[in-house]
Amino acid sequence: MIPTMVDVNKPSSGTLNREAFSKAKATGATIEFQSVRKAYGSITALHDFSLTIHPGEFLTILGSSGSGKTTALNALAGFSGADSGDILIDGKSVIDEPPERRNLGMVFQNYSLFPHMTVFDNIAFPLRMRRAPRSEINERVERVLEIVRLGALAKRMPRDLSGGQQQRVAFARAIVFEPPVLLMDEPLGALDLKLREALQFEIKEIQHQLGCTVVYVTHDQREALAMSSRIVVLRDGRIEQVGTPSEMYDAPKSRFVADFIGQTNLLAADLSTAGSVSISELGAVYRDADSQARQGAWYASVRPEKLQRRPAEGADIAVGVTVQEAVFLGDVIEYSARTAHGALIHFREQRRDRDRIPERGETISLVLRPSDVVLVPDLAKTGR
Amino acid sequence: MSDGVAMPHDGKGAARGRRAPLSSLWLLAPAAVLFLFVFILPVGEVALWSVQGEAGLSAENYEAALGAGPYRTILFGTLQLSFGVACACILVGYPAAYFLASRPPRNRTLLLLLILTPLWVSVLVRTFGWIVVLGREGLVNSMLIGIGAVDGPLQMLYTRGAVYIAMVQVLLPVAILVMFSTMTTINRSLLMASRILGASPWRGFVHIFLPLSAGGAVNAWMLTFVLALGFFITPALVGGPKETMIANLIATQITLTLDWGLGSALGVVLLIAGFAVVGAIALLFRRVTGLSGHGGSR
Repeated sequence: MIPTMVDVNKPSSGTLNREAFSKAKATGATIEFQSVRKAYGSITALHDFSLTIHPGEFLTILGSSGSGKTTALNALAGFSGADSGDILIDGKSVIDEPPERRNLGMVFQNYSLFPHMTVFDNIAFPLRMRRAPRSEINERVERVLEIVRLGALAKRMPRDLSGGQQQRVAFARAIVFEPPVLLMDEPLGALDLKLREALQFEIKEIQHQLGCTVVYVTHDQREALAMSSRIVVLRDGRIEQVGTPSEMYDAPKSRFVADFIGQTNLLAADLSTAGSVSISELGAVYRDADSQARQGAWYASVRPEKLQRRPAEGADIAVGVTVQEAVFLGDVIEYSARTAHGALIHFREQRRDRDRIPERGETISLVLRPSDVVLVPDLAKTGR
Repeated sequence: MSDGVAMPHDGKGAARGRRAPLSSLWLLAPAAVLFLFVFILPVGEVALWSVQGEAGLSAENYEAALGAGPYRTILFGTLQLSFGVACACILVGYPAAYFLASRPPRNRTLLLLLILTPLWVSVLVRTFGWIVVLGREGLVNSMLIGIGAVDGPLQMLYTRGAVYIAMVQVLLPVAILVMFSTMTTINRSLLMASRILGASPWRGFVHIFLPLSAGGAVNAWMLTFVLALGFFITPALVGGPKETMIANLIATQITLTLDWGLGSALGVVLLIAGFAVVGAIALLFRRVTGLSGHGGSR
């Protein structure tokens, strides 16, 4: 944990200074939520929330506003207690510990930089609260300023920094004491798209170097897919699904997750006959040996890139559609089209050189592999 | 009052001293005209009176006002009393303002109303109230005698203590209001941030809330100090001869002895002394904090 000195003059490309990381890695902690429940008045913000987060994992809690994601984070941070259940960090219950005794780093949505302190003093704050000796404070703050490439701004006040710079100071302040756990509450929400994408990469990079466990809260599914090792989708205070980004995209377990993560076409599916799937809006009926007879509201989730114009091996489902709109995006073309049964569907294809783009009103035929159709229940209708 | 030395502002445009475009300066015109006629011209005339002697220009009024004697004693007494009253207002008002600012906004309205209610009652009435409370046969004395704490009535009225209590009571709502308005601009998530970064509630208060609210406290101090300097009725009614304020003295010169020259000189001295103390406090605050005061970012 002893920081190494940094060669300030070393040239480096990009905004990150990889040499500035200490070789000694902080080890991430294990976090366990055990049936955490929290209600505000008559509204239950979190129902029996149970989740184990592994050391060094980048876990994203994804949900829209009111889903309980901030409640879960605040319970972990210690800002709001839980009505029942327990939270363990490295096997030790912290539910009764105040925030300052949990040793967590945190980046807030609005950065929450102390406006009366310089960049240096902001970053030194957690070290001063831990009564670190002055020499260690100087060393660590300088090193972390190098990591986020803000060495030249150490004496500035927060109000004189741009949004992106403020975000970096907040990040530096959260990692300067090498916490085993880093909490981030929509840290990129206030930034423009370009900066957001650049910082996503930086955050991932720094987390990888530090080895700390990250709990990241966002409502932006693209951000979640890009950064996480695992995603938890929360809806109305309950976990809808937990999985890696590719699991969430390829194998959503509910209509909500299929719809929330990535783009998709959701079409009512009839599963009342065992071994057969009928999607009336596509005019498609196909055999599915694994499928059992199921009642209730089921949907076929078809990702736009799975619908193809060219015949392909195993693409047994054929759908005739009338093109409504073709949107040229450079490398890809996105279409909206109407099936013979009146459903509006979206599909997308890679552009090839000599391809002619079908015009509005033109009737074309699309093919689809049955294995690319994901059947999902509407949990709100079929019950949990 | 002061040159905006520690006024809370939004921390962005104002902090960088951006100038208002000339075309919008006319918005200041009504206030400027009023200020000219009700403040600058009268004060100028008073200043002229103060340097007029029997035969032309003379410093005799200032010699009388500032030379050793009762006037100088009363001037220093006034400054001292106002200083003490302003300090007491901050010490008593700060926790109250903190409490108010920590309430959820919808609960604040009623509490603010309670704090402001005394301001609707005339200072004269409130001062008479203290005579009733502190008098020889007043509430406090009857109670103390009733429970057998004292044998005879205590002399509370017409003392320095009575003046302190009454003046603090009159000025306290103003001090609370000024500090409260600064405190509401402090983003509460800063305190949450301090906690998660390792600060106990007390250290979070000392390192974050206190410095961010200090500007409001200094403003409240300066405002109550200046208001106290001009106090007139309260010290006259509940204080003894020793608590005579410079304002009472000026009134005597103008209305009784008709020595307008001396009265004017005392007024000018009071004005300059007030400016000097407020300016010194503002400079000191700036020196200590390294900034011109602010109220936290949003």
